[in-house]
Amino acid sequence: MRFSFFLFYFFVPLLAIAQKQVSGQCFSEQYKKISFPSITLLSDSSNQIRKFVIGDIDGKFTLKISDQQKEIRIKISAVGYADSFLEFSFDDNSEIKRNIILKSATRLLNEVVVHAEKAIVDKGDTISIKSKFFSDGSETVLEDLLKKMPGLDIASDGVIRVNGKEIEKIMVEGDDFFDKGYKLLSKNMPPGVVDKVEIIQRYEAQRLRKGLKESDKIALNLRLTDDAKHKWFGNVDVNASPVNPEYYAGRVNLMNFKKKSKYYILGASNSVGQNIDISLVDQMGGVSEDIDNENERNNFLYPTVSFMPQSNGLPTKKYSFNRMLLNSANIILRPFANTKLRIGINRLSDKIETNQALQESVLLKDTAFINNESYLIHRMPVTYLGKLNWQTEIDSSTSFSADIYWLGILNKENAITYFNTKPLLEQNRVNHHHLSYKATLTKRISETKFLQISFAEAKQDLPIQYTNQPFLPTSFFNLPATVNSLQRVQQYRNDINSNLSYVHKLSNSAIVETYVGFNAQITKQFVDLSFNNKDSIYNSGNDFNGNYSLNQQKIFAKINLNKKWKSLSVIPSFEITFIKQVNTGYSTNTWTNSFVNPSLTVGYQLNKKHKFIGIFGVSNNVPNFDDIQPFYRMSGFRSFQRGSNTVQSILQSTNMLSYTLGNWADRFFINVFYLGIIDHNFLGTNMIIDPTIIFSEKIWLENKQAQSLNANADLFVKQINNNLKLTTVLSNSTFYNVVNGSSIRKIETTSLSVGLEAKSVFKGFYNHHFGLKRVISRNETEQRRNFIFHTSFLDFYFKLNKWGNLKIRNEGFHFPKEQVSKAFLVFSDIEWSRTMIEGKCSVGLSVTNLMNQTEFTTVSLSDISVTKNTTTLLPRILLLKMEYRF
Amino acid sequence: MKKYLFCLSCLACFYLNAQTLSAGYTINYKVSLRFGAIRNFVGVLNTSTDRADFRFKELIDMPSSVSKEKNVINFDLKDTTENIIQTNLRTGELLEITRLPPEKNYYLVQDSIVKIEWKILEETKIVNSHTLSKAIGEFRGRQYTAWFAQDIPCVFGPWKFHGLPGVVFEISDAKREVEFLLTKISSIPNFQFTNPPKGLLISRLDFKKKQSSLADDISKALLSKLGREFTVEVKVKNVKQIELD
Repeated sequence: MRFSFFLFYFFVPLLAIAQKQVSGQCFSEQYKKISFPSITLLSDSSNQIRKFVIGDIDGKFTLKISDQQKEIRIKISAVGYADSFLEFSFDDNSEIKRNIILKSATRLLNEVVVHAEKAIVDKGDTISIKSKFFSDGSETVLEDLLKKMPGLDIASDGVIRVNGKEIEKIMVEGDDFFDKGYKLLSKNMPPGVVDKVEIIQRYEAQRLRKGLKESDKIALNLRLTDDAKHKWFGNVDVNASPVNPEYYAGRVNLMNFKKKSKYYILGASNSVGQNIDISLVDQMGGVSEDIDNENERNNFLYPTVSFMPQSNGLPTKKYSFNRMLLNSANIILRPFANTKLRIGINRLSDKIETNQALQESVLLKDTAFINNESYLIHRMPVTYLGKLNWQTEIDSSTSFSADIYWLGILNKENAITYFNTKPLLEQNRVNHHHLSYKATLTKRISETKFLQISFAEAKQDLPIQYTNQPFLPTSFFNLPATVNSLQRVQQYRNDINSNLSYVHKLSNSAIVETYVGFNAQITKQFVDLSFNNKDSIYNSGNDFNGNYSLNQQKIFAKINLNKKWKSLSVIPSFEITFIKQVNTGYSTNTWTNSFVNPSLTVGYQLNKKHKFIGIFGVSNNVPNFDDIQPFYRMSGFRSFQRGSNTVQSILQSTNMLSYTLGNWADRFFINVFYLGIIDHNFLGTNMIIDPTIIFSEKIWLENKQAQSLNANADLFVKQINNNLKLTTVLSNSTFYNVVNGSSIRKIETTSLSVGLEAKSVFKGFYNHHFGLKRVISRNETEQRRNFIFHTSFLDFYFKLNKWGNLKIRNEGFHFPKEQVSKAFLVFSDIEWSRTMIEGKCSVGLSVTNLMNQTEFTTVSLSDISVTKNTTTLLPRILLLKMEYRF
Repeated sequence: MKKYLFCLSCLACFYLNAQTLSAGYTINYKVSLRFGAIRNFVGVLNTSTDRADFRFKELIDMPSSVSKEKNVINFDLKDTTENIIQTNLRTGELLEITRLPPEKNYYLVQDSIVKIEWKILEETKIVNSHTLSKAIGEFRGRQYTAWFAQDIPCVFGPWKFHGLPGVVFEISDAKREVEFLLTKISSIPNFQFTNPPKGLLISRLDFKKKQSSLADDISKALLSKLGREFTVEVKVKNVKQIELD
């Protein structure tokens, strides 16, 4: 042992001598030790650092030098002392020892402010979610992947929400194909190529307005895998049923997402309800005056008759058989560095069959009767959408964009209807064409000022032809017993909008927004109702035939001031509108008015736990075209509707209050929301109800009120790994109408729903989610009508590792026996999927309506009747699935 | 009584002397952490010859935006805790003072000063007339690139970084998940170190365990609140932080 130590101590000095070094100690002029000095070895010619060492607490240091260097230059520096430069020549010595004295000096450091170049530009608050952590390979479309990501909530109709707010769009590598019509992408795009999903909070579509106004919009951006950015790729998936050959699903996606050009081509066809809630209309740009609500207002004309089945609370794909075909080709090109061109051509055709029976029990003061109606509905809408968007950055602060949209909806609807055993054939033909174009010039005037000028025009043409064979309520028109009816409604609308928006950020906490604009809208309508049989043509009378036009011009100025004080945010808003309407129907009337619409939004955050928001506003609005037009139009085989033929402004006050305790990540979370709306005057209905016919016209009434209170509470119980959720919704409304010449009737509706849920978050192979809800509805006029029912669900999820994933979903409906014949109904669906080749091939199986329920009956209440709605359900469907990605 | 007062004032003077620095800097940093969400912080580093105090706090803009959309309430999940790192070269101790939201108490996480083997590269650049030299080094699972000023001596960097011969202007890891950018520097005659707030003294290892268990709880609370369309699958992952090991 001693010998080892001897050897060690013998060789250490030899090793030390083998390398050159400078060592020493740093002192101040007063010979005090300077702690932690920096000793840097500089290159000969420049001040390039070659090596450095930090001295110890006593200022001692050792700087080792490579063998080749003979002349060296070192710098000694320390905080509070002047730098000292020393030059040494090693000659024969391999070690130089020096004590260094540094002169004390106050370092005159001018305050340095650095505006560093950011390596990554933050797009507001972006949350980036890596797909691989959430994907288990069983996802067929993007929506399946998004459902698995925390914070994203996908409703059964495909609407995607983040923290309860619907997203604006889904972009691919920063480029947007579909605007608000993102469902086309989320319900079809294969998710395997998505590397990351970015949730962009405070999303600002207008690049030049960034940083000026805090946006509350949210968008998703898909970042693709490197592989996917350079090649064409896609997938084919096929679903077929061995026992029900009429049920099928198939889809082909073909994509190429390069930086300068992006292509997305899709072909999809199915009969199992996939894509049933896609609407191409969502891709349309708007002509709104408000730059924050570009997609919100299209001033669409709507058909006067539609054969949409009455809602029963079930998802449409449970009861509507639809053979859907969707084709979509979308291109984004960047022909020049400053120019982006977006082209989209889409066609969507549906063939929808629904079977529904309604039993309406009417009970009024002087009248009581029961009507039975049944419908076998065939709807065949074909929608075409073409769009062309051009965007040019003129310079770094100015951009110009031009958009053209063309929409065509051709709809053929037939219904074989039985009214109290009397059959008739209803047919409806709709040809809706919509062409709009918009030009926008945007300028960022300075760091704090923004200007946008836009001009937009939209033209619409909507002819409708609705026939009844035969027309049933003949006696009312003094017609022979057997006649057919033909109603033609031709509508035409032209909208012109010219707007100027100016945003000025006064300080970090105050923003002023000013909008000035001019809108002109002309709507023309021709209505014609005639009856015919093989012998004659019969006229329906003046109330059912005629021309009507409404010419509306509006000049407005609106100012919003967004001001923040620490935890208080206030947005007062003030709008002045001058409006002129000329309506030409039976006679020509001109109506002019001017309004002042104030509103106040207040947000207050008491602390991190408690947050309050209040919105209070008063607004004057003008009624829409359908509520004014003076001619009776058929809205069904025995119902006629017309507007008031008079114009007033509708005065509405709105109050909204919300309170939040905690946040989503807390174990205990409460959210209470109140909304109250008072229409000081409104367009109510004056109805004539007869067993065979209903006439309804709009009349001016006063004081309609609606209020709702939503309260939700979540409690995560760690001990049992379950979240308990309580949801309650209480709503109440009071309105007035006139029926069969009565005096003005007051109607009060109340509904209360209380739900309880439990959802597990076990780490193992099993999880569950179950819940129960009680719904009470009440309608009170001369009679009080009540309906109480319960719904429940019980879902199981199994992760079977190499055997894939299994989901079992059950829903139960419990109705009162005296009101619904089948009082208890259970639906079960099973879905299994398994990845065969990771990222390439997967197989699966699904069974819907396992219990093979045949029909679903529910009850709806109104002030006139109780209606029992029985819908025929799609049978048990077994589908085998296979997907291949290339 | 007078004796006690005398003793107390002597001790106080001694204490204050011990706390007072001869010279140093106040350096402001913009801190960006990009582990999923992009979070921006403001950081302030106060240094003397042998001690440093770095504080960073998330940039917040209270109150959160008020949504005008009906039925919509937005939530903030922001952590406004001020994190403090105190480094003392004289004792070789590093103390991280932080919280684990939603818990309100502070943790005093005991850590040691780990020597970073910086390698100086030839590359230089000039920012605001200061020549910056490039250095690379590895610290707790991340490869960092730092740019420091040769002409302003300072052995402390932001957060737990140290050991370079000049003030750090920029430091970021290879994935750009962690980034510190100097925004302002000024010299100060002295800096009064404040004692850490009261809290629970804990080792780094125990703190990491506690942090991981809390993140697991939050993730479960969040996932279990989602709707019926969402299939729950709890995966336990390490909470991504500046330090990877």
